[in-house]
Amino acid sequence: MSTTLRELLARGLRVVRVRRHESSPRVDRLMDSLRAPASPRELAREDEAVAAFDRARLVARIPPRSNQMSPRAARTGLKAALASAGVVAALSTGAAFASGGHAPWSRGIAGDASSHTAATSSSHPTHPAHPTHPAQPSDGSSTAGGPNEHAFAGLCRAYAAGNKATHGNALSSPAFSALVTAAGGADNVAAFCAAQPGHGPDDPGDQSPAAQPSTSGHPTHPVHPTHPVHPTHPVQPTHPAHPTHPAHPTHPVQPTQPAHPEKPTHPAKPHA
Amino acid sequence: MPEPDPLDDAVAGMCSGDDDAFRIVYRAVHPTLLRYLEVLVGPSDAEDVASETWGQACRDLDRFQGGADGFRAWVTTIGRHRGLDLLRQRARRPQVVADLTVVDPPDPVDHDLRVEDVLGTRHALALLRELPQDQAEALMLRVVMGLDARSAGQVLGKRPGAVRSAAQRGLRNLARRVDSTEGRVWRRRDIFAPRGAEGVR
Repeated sequence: MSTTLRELLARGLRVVRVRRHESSPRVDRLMDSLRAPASPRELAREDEAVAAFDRARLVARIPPRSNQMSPRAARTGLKAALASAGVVAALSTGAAFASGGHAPWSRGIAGDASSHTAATSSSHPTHPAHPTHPAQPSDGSSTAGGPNEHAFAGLCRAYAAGNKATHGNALSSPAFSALVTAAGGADNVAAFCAAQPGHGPDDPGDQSPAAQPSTSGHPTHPVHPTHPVHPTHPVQPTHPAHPTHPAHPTHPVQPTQPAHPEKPTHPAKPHA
Repeated sequence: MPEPDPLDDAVAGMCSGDDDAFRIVYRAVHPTLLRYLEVLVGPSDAEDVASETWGQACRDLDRFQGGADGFRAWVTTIGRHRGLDLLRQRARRPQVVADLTVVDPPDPVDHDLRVEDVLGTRHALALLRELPQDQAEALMLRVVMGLDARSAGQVLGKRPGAVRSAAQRGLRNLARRVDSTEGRVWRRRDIFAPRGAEGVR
């Protein structure tokens, strides 16, 4: 043991001696001066670096956003917005997704949007036009902002109507943010929509206005984007049944809103 | 290093886009980075290379993950690549290396008249530049920037053992040179007789 210990000690001493030798006080001082605090001259370009940092951060922020709003996603977003705004359209034309489409933020949207959306949505392949429906029979009352569940039903329908492949993108569009929030995440949207009240298997009884006093109970399945059932939507006449409708007496005043006329082309594009 | 680096928080803040945190990191990392680059490419270009390095680091920041040590190594790697690029460019178009003049230690008379720190730092950098490049780099990364052998090895593209031994050789080498130069300095100042007078004189 003593030999080993001596050996170890000797080695240790040698190491210490080597260290000593390597780090002579002068070298230590040199190294210290290399670690010295920065001189003002060395930090002269600090602001320049911070500017580069800010610039890079700005640039870094833009690309994801532009990716997010790819033309396709933007279109889907527009569609969704129109869908939720277009309760009216649903009323008159039976557009697939518009039946209960009150988004929480779409309350004040004018009834006149309906005429445009109606016109365009009638060209939707999956939504045959319903000439028999007077364009704005119950418009005034139907444009009222619906309770959230109606909004979600409409959003769900819009979501379901979109191309399945683009659902991921669609959900990142602002129009769906309320839906995603309510569902607790983009992944849950399908389940959330399936669980929406009134979202049962397709319901042909839909056709009778009295059948669904609460329009939230729309028969279409958001989970079935390609559902051909959409033509059954004329159900919309039930909208007047909305308890909240009378609450918006101002709606008839708004038909002059010019915001929507430019959008008609969007919903016309087939999702699938 | 078990204890957390106080700079870790600033690095995290910087990564989430806080430019005050960036400032803190910059002030902590830039001086030694600049000095390392000065050893690598010389004092005349070090500032520009450092600016480019920070610019690229900012642009690529979202690719970085880790704490303060990781960031030091990461930004140093960027700086080293930039510096080596410059050295290659220089090699391609031969020119008189003006930097050699800077290698001379500052006038010993000025040594205690001017701001000791700054001059000492420049002096030390000039001495390091006289070492073989691998030794100088290893010393800067290990001793000055405080990178561990593994990180320094990653930056330099070497095995940790190779970095360690390069740093040791560098220290020995430096000790010889320092003794000789400082001996000269001391002698000129007539404080005491040169000890290691067998060195360069």
